[in-house]
Amino acid sequence: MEESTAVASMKAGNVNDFAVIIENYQVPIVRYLYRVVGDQDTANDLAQDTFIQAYKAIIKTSPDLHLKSWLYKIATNNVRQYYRRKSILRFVPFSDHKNSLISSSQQQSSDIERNIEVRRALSKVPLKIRTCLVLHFVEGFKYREIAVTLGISEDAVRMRVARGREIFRQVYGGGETE
Amino acid sequence: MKCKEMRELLSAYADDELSPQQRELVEKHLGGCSDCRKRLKGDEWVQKQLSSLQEAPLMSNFTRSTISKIQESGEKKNTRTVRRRLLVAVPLVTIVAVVAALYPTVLSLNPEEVIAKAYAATEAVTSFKVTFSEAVKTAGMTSWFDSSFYNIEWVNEDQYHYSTGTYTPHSEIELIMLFDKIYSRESPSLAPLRSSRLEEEIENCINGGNLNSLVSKEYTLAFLDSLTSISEINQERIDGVTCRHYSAQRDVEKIIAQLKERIYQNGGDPSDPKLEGIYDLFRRTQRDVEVWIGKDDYIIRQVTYTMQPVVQGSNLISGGITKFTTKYFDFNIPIVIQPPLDSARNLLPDWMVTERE
Repeated sequence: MEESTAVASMKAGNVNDFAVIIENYQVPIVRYLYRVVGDQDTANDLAQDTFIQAYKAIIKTSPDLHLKSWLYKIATNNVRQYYRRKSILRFVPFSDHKNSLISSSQQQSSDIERNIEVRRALSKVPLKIRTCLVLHFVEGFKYREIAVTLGISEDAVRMRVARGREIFRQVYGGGETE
Repeated sequence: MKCKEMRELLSAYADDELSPQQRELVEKHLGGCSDCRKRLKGDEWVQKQLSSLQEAPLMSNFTRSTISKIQESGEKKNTRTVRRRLLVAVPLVTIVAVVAALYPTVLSLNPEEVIAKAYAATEAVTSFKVTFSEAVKTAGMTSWFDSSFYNIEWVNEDQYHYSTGTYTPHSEIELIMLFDKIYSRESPSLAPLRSSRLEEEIENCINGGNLNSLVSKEYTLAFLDSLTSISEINQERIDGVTCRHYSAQRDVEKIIAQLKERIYQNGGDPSDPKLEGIYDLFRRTQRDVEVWIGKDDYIIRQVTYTMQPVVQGSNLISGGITKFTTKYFDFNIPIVIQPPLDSARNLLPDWMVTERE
């Protein structure tokens, strides 16, 4: 079934057709969330929340909805909410991200180690810049698409990607820098 | 064009995101600048590193489990009884009369004096209820988005009862803290969204976590104590009570000192270097406060608290603005926190109990 047909069918009340949309986007959305929050379980939880919210709201969307940007937008809002809970509401950061980043790696190889280093460096990049980096480099979004998804200007995207590269390079401490 | 000004364009050049004119400009510059050629290589290297992060750790039955959660929430929605928030306007005639007698109205108090009186009056309160809600305005948006809420009956840090949840999607958790036991349940009328949410809340209670810091009397007093640059705005009525209304800032160094004290009291080390980043985030956040104080009894009635990062790149709330609204009511009306047990002392359905060590 085509995506647009699935959306129309859902609007007519067929929940199961939403499966088509979930199937199409679960991998990229989970990957995106994982890259931004650095924890598998949280990424899967947030992705489920994203699809549930999308399901509830899709009826109210206009026919020219750009589904992909919209889903990433919901996912990004969920990340913001997640970090707000973690970093503000908790107030005293005793039980900080316990199982972030490294816990998922059980195998030992230089590739995986490097991967961990990349992820660690990425996690040091401020959230709003990190979302841009992940959308662009991992999800393959053009600047224009990021701008639409995040509701910012293309110039702002360009600035964030450039700034993100810079921070990443500083934190990673490798590569052919100046 | 100078190399420094070139950086942003180089990054976009590596991403093939420039207009033909900009491209030409960059290429011309690159032809004569070995530093920028090096930098471009660095940019391409970053691209390569980040592009290597392609795999997605998907759980096995993702689609099925998501669909069933959607269906569950739909079914329950049809039968659910609407839970009203605890917020009820209660006439405070009695308290107002008593407290007003203690604090005769003085017309010409300056804001600092009023806040000092509010501190004393609030300190004298023996119990109260609170609602706490959070709204968010993300960067580039003009409207507020209601995100989460707490409804709390507070006696002391060993006895309180609250429900909390999010508006979209609507989820709700209820907890009762009673000395060494924490009773909890997910709202039976709504679908559970994240199994980890309940555990997180319980863990927070065990750690003396966020609820204390949000709405306890102790926190409220610390909050009043931290106000600075206070100026009076027009009077307003909150739940039928005329209130003095102020705008203010919070003294960030005082907040940090309070936080350090709290960490110390909880057995932590406030000078742990890992906490420096947190203190720094506090300093990089702008806080605008509005506070409403009962005109006659000086008890705190409402607070709105807006937070936004001062400096670009702060990852505190990713460029967005968060607004907390706290409402205090039902002062000094004795609150008895009851465990969710039936007459035979058995746990009611849906509830679970966790022992605090």
